[in-house]
Amino acid sequence: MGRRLRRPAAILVSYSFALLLLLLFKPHAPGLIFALLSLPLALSSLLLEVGFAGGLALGTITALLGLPFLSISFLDWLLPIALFYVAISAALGLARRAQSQQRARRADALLEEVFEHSSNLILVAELGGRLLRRNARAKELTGKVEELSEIFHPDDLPRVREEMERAVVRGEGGEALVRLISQEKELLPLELKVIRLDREHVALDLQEVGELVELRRRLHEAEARYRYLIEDAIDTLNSGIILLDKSGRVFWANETVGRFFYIDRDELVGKELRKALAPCQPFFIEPGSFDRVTSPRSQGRFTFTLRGRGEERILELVSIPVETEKYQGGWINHFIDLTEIKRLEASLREKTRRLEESNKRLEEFNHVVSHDLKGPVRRIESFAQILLEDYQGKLDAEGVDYLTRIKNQALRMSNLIDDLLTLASIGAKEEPLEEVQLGQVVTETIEGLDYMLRGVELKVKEALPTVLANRTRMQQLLANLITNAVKYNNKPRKLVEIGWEEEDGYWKLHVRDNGIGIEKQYWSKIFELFEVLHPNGDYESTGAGLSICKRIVENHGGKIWVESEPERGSTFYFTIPKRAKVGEPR
Amino acid sequence: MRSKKLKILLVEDELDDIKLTQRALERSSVKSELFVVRDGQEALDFLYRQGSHAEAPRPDLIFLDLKLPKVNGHEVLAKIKQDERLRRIPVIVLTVSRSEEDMVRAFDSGASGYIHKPVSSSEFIKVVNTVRDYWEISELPRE
Repeated sequence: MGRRLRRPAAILVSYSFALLLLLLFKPHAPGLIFALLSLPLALSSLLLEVGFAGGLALGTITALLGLPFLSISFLDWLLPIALFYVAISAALGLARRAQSQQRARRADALLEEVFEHSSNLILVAELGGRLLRRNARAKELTGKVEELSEIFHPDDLPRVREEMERAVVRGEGGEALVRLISQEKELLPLELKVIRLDREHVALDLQEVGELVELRRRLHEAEARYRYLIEDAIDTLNSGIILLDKSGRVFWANETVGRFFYIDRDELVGKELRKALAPCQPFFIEPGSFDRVTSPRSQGRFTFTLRGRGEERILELVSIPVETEKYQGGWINHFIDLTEIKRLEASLREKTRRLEESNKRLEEFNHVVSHDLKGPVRRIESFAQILLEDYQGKLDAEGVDYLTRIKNQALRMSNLIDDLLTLASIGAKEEPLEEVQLGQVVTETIEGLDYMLRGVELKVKEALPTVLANRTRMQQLLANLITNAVKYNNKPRKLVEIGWEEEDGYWKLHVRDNGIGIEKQYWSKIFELFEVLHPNGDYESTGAGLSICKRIVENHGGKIWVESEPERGSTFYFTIPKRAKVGEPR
Repeated sequence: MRSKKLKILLVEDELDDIKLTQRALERSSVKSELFVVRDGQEALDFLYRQGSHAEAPRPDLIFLDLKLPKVNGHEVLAKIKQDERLRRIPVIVLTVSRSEEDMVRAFDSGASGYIHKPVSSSEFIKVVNTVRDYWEISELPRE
């Protein structure tokens, strides 16, 4: 307004000065009246908003009004001059004003032109998202739309809205990379700039960006995703991780650290480790462990205990200086939770101790059984034998019979104890494996059973395999099976056949007889301890022989079973896995 | 030498076993003289002629039970085998156990053989025959 007032003020001053001079030197009533009359006219010509033509008209009217006074009085020439001055000034002022208004209109038109023909897309929108205006480029690309939500990619809409809010509320227009959906349904990457128009309106200036910018955006996105993923991964680790910078300050810590030390991990960042972990100091159990853990240059491994909130945690600190190609200086501190491992370790130790104790007791028991229990039984048998030998003539037949029974029972008991001890010993200790030529073992066993095999027809298949096994156990196994084949045989011509087959991964051997056979329902029962199918006395047996066989075979990783036909004979099969050499797992 | 009685030292604490061993020796055709001691310490006293055994003869054969009061059989056996003068006396270990481990241990300690208790005549004869050849042929140094 100041500028506008200057000219009228000057006119008023000059007019007032002219009037003052007139009154001082030539007071003249009509002139004065004219001046007073023309004053509001002049003022109105100045202050009224009229156009160029209006200004001219007003000036003319004023001049015409002054003319009669001029013709009446010729005395004063100052007045008309002043009058003309006023009129022309007014006219000029009015003309100037009109001109500036026209210029502004023209500028508006030009701006409109700029808006319309900008190579950018320009949208005017309400804060609510309704589109009010679009420039030509915008129309060309977006087609017929009414809402902002129709033209932006759904993922980008929140960002657009955020930028609009920011522009309106804070007055600053942010920039963002957004994707626009063209009417051809193509995605166009655009750089958005929001300009505040008023409280409820904004202009969105969208600049098309090249492929490079889009690539950059994708790279940023990928990098951010990667970073989040890595951070998430590290956060969900069971180990705590603290990164220290060169000066020993916490640079980053994962969530697990917070859990271990009962602290908000964000509170650690930027602090020296010692200060950062100071609130946790009471949790450190071992004296000096806090100092060791928080020393920024602690290296190597260190195990310590934290006790807090009703739980105890054993942690191992592994501090590694960062010396990579890309980055030098600082440390990575890992905190590994050993609680569970230590607990398992302790429980394993305890179990091992108990097992060792139990094994020792078992050994003692075996010793007691084999010496203290067996001694008396053997003595009974011996004295019974002596009685039979020395007092034969003095005892009648019944006496001899009873004595024989005593002797047999003692012998049976003694054998039973031996079988039990054998059974208990299989697998109780690690038994050394060696290459065992089964052919040789069979030959030796047959020799050992010489008296028993008299009158038995024995066939052994050629080239019995060499297996990796415990030699003594193989002898026990074959002796038991061959003995059974002969023992449970009521045929006058007893046949025993030993054979073998090679299968995939194991050897299958069998001992076949033409004996009394076993009914199918007992095929598995006979391998159970003390299962005897026949009344005692019919066939001499402790009932432990096949249990021993089963345990030997299974201890070698094989299987044992029987196939049989009552009265026709039985075939006992067993397998021994093939192993390349000693030391391979069973 | 064959006419000479075989001096046998029996180290055994169980009276019934002593009885059975005595009988087995009697029944065998081997001419023998049996000396009995009841524990490991007494066995060592006998061998070293200490205490009441000052007059004890040097045995030709020792029957040694492994399970003995005071000093057990394994220790006695080890002592005998470490002694220059005693090491050549054949020691037959007496055991009630059929376990291979016990036998292996006896042989490892230097036993010349083992007999399952109680000693039977046949077993005794078998052992004496085995040992006798050995101790007749070789000229064992006598004191």
